[in-house]
Amino acid sequence: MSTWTVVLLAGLASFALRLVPVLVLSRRSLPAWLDRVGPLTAPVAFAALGTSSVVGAASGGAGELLPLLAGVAVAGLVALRTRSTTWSVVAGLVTVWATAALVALAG
Amino acid sequence: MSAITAARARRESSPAAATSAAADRRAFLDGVGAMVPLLLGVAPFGLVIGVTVAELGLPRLAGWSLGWLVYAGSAQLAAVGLLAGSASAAVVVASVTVINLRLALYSAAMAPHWRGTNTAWRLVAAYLLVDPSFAVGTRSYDGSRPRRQAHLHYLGAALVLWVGWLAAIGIGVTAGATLPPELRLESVGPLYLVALVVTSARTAAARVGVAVAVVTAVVASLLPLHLGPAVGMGAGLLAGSLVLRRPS
Repeated sequence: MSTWTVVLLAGLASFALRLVPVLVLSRRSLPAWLDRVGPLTAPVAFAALGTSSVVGAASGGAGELLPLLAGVAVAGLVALRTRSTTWSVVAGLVTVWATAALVALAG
Repeated sequence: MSAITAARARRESSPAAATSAAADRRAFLDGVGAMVPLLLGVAPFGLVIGVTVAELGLPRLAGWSLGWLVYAGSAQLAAVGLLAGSASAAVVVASVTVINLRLALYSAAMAPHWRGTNTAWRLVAAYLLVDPSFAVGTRSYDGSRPRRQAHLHYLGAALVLWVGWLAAIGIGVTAGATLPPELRLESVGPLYLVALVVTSARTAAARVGVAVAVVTAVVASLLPLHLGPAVGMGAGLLAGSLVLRRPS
């Protein structure tokens, strides 16, 4: 099969995953369990995604993992205090840079 | 949809209509602005995917087109590697489907916000749904703006992500350019996610779900096919819903 055929099929599968739940759930009323669980989706999904990227950074060694862990901790604290995603990301990124510089000095 | 209404608002030129057009524009631009930091975070990943397409010798247009067809970075990178390794079509499509399972969850979570909208909107909105647009989308529909402006906020965020993502892959494919790794822009994604978790996990059930999702995602990172996030989400949602079922 040509590369293009595979690319198109992979695209169709991805589109179906995005579209089918929206179409199905907008025609009938929401099942009770989904109505209950719905508000949990966002925090739980973001926690799983964020954790996976931090674990992924671990394969790059301490030089990758430590700065990200420090940044995540600071971003979490800033978010708790300010409720602002912007300030959390800014503070977290500065922490990542500072920790990376420290790790480079120590190593 | 918005262009027609905006034009009508200008024709009527009543103060109320003008205010509504201005509010629409502001909602759209707020969405664009909310996406900019996330776009900076994913741009290095898009460049890397583009460079990988060129380095592995895939047909460049087909490799770039994974960007607008599959439109999800981790699945694209897996597909590029598998295609370059001459994997069978079934393996490529199955891998992309498994890695993208989480998109069905996002779609189910957005469905209540898009009920009663026309099919064209649902096609476009669903097509643009991916991790960063879902992240901003949960804020678009947090109840702080009227429904129509929530749609425009989501659309602004999702469109700027789509344009930026395809541009980044295109630059990677054609120019082989990457950003200096010292900038560590790939950290922006996890940092943003942490902030979202902290600000959105307001109930006990959500906090239990988050804790279970984190632990499960760490363990499940040993699984193949980037299944970690999907398994973590499943376990977290299950745990959270058990807390909700417990009589209080």
